Amino acid sequence: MNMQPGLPSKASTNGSPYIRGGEREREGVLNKAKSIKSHPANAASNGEAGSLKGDSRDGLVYLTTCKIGHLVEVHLKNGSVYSGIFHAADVEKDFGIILKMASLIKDGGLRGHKARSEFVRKPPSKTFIIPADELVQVIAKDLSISSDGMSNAVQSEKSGELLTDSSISKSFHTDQGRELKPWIPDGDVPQGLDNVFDDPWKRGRGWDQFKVNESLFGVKSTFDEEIYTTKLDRGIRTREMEERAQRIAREIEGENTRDLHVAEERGFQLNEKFDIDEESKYSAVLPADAFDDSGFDEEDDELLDTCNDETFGGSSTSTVQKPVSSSGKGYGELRDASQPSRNNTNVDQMCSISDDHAQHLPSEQRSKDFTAPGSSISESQMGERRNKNNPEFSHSNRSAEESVSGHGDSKEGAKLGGGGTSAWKTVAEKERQVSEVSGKPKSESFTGQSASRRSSESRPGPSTSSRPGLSPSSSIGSLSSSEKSTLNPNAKEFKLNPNAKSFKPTAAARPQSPMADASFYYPAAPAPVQQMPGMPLGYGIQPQYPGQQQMIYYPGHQHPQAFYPPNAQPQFPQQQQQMMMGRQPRPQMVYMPPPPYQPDNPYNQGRE
Amino acid sequence: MDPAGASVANVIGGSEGEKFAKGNIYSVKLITGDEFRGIVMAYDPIPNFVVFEEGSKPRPGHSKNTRMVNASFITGLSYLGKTEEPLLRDSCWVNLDGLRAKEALAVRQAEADAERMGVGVTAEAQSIFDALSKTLPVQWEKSDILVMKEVRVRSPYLSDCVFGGTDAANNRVKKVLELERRRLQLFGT
Repeated sequence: MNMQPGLPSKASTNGSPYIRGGEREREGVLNKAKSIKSHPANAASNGEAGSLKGDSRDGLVYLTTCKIGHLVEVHLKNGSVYSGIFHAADVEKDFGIILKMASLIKDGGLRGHKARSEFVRKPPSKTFIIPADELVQVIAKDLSISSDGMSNAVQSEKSGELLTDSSISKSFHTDQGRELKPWIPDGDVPQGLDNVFDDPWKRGRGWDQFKVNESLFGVKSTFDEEIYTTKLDRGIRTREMEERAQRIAREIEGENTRDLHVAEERGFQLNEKFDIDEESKYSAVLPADAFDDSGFDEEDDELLDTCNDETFGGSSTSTVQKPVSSSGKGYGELRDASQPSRNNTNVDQMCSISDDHAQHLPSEQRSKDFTAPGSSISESQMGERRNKNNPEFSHSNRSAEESVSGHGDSKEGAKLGGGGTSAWKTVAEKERQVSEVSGKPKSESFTGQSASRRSSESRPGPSTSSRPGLSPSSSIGSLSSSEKSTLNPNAKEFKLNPNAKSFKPTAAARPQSPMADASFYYPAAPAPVQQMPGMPLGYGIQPQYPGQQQMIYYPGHQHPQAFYPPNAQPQFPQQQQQMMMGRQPRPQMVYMPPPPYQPDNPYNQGRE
Repeated sequence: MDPAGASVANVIGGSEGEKFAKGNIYSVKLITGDEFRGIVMAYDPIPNFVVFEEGSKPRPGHSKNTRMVNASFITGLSYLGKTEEPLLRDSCWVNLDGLRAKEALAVRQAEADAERMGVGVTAEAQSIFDALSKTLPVQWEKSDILVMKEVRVRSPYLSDCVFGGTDAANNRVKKVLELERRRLQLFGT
């Protein structure tokens, strides 16, 4: 028999189809696969249906062909197991197979179990032939058998090009997935360890880390919980307040929301189409019209209605689901108590709605808004406007800054484009009208800069007071209508500088110490100039600026880039001219005029 | 049972239909002792080979664990049922070029892997080699591990079997070897 050198000794009896050469033999097999239909089905011995026979053989051939190139595991009659790449099979005869790069995994010939360390590896055989009468089974895991040949090719391409990190770093050689055994504790493990951390606040039993620390190490703790958290007023009415808080919390958490993240936290499936990947869910920046607005109108109407109903129990029965146990105050308080719960319930809803408001044309909003404000204003309760607007504030970081408008009339709040602006307006109104403000921690949800400032202004220590009523408003503080729309109430007043040069950002870095370095310009004539705090003191000086003459006056000149952007050097003379010219009309400057280097100073931008 | 022959011990249940009809689910036992459950995908009595999809239920999709079994070596067969799902469509065709490319790639990878395997070395030696290869460039030289082409680790691959190379390299290899050995012991390979 004609055998190629180097082949392992398992010569097949029907060797000729194999030994002719891999390629050709393979061609034979593959051509067979191609012409599946034309294969003659001639074994009629067991009376099976002709079609079945033909199909079976075809199916077999097809599946065999699919295995080409696949890593397979072959079990032999003697118990040996080989792993290799499937290369060919003799489909015309008895389905003996050929493997490439086959290596012995399990030696069936071994009697007894050799210690692993002694097991000597053999190199894989380049080509390995297995005759059918020794072949027990061929296992191919995750074999791709689509009827469409395309996926075969695609897969191999993919595997060739794409290397995921895990596949690169995966090491096939070292131990992966060793046998894991469950941990069984020794006898001396304290029982009930599972519950140790269940209730850390229960000082009575359970784990008190401070005690343990002190006993073990003698460390005396100065831990005071109240440094880190707000002290709760546990007074007479504690229970009611707790109950109410619980109820409110539950309602809020059970609300529907349109915000993706809030919905996810609450376990609502917001998106019907689940092809939103992690990136768009958690990290992508949402475009302005991110929300699907298709169902918006109806939902909004319903929300408004429900809000109205709940808020203004006068018109329809107030849907107070849980009895408010407070009896101390009268109806007003009852309303207050129930309202916030209701309102809080809708907070997030409204919030997201308001987001949409902010994003879409206010025209829609206005019409809706108008239904509410009329009644809301008349009631001294927290209107749904306030609802809408309050939470909206928390969400609209983008509109936070623009949210405040200095309108005096609450009615106009509705007209404001962008829900954010109206938010502040009516919130202010409500605040004034509401007698009590709840000190609920809802205030923390509003992170806007103005919010916190306002609350601090108007409600000293709101968090500690346990006032029933309108919780979200507390954070807003008292937005009085008189408050103007400045974003930064603490900023200095803006004074127009008619001669200000327009800001042109340059690539140059800003001077390292722009303003303060003005002091470097100590001119010879100190007194009159020093009155101007921000001015470069050298400003009013005669043209001595050309640096080469003035080394003594400008110690800062040693690092010229501190004052001039690198590209400003050549401009120096002309800047100097400007300075000279600008000097006369501006004898008194409160703010730093754009001196030579200043216009290029990005630092300057904030001032003007 | 005659391995070279063709008789198979059959336990055919009630409504099995033809033996190894497509879609039949069997529990199969082989002479090697292997047992599994599978669904018949294809069968040809002439070579007497059956291709099963492993499992009792067809896996959705196009990727299946298949077993091509020489029916002559089935020692036990019990019919479990039948599934009507089509496992294979009638008109199938294969992309030969794709398959060839796949094979070439696989062979290349296998050859690269083979390079990493020591010839005639113990498994312990091989695992040490693998561990070293995670951070150092190593290659086999007969039964020595050649690290960075300079430092040689001889059998039995202990710290005192490290020779050659600069001091720094030598020490480094020693250290890595120690740590890897310790780690291997700890995890009990």
